[in-house]
Amino acid sequence: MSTLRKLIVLASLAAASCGGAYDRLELFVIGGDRRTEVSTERIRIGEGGVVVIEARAESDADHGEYNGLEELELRMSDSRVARVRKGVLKDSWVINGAEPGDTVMQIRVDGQLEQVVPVRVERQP
Amino acid sequence: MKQTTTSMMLAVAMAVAPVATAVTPAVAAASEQAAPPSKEALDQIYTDAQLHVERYNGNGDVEQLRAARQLLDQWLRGHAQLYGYGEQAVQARAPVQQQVAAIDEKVGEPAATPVATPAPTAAPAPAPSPVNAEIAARQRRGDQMFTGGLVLGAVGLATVLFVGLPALGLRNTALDNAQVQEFRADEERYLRRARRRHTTMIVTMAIGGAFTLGGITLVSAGAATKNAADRELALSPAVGPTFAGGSLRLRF
Repeated sequence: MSTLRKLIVLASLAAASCGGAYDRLELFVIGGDRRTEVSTERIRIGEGGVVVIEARAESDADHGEYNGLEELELRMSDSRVARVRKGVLKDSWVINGAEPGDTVMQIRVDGQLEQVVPVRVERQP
Repeated sequence: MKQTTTSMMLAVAMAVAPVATAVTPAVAAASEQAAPPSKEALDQIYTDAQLHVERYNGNGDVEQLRAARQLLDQWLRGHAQLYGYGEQAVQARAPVQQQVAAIDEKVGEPAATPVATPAPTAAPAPAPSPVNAEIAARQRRGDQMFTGGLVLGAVGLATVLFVGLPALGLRNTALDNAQVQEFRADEERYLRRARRRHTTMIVTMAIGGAFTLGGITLVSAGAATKNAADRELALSPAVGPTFAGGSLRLRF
């Protein structure tokens, strides 16, 4: 039985490795505060502010396309400064500015870190 | 050539050659205490006998014929030791016995008693010849490999066709369903389903592919083993039970 499990794990790894290579993140703001700046270069949000984005990972066409099974994950390195959670709608994410400071948002595809985006939470006047 | 040889034969003083030993099972049993000769050794004996005949053809020396006759006697005994007294073996020795009789006629000696076929109740059942038993074992092994390869290949192909490919189709269906969902929870449910089917597809394709390749390999190896054994059986007729001396005819 353990041999069969190993075989399944190897097969899963093989399946994962058959997917495409990360190229970029497609980001669209679909709701939230207007005084925010969201792009793959940087994210700027006010203290207590909220922004809803739609995010999709795009693959590098030269190295194969994603097959739709890839798992996109966005994580803030310091959740005391800002938080990001999955939204209700498909491919949607909600970013909150918790307290003023700087952090980075990690973009992971199938568990592998592909990109980091600087995040600044600004104090509101 | 025949007339010349016959006239030469008439001119030669006939000496009484030792009576050929009839290769009966009893006689063979006595000499069977020694190990039976190998196929190659029998080949050599027959070749030497032919050389003596060729020398006789060249110089008319009857002693050469007698030497050939002794070697053929030795060959007959060795053949009986190696291949036994089955019908095929007896038939295979018959041409050589005829050659011995022809030599006896030429040197003016009484014809050798043909190799006796044992009476069914008199002699024990002959043991299977070692050469044929080995070849038969290789043929059986080849058959087993061939059959095993067919079964393995069929299982592999069936796994790919009836499990792997359907899993691929179902995975794509789940992906398509996930694409059209509006809410994340619904999308993730279909994505989980698609990932399960994707894993099933990979595993069954890998196993099925390995089985198919293994089956092809076994079929090839089994066929090669069988063909090699069949070829060896066909080649052994030089001293084998079916074509003893067929390729080394004595010419007088």
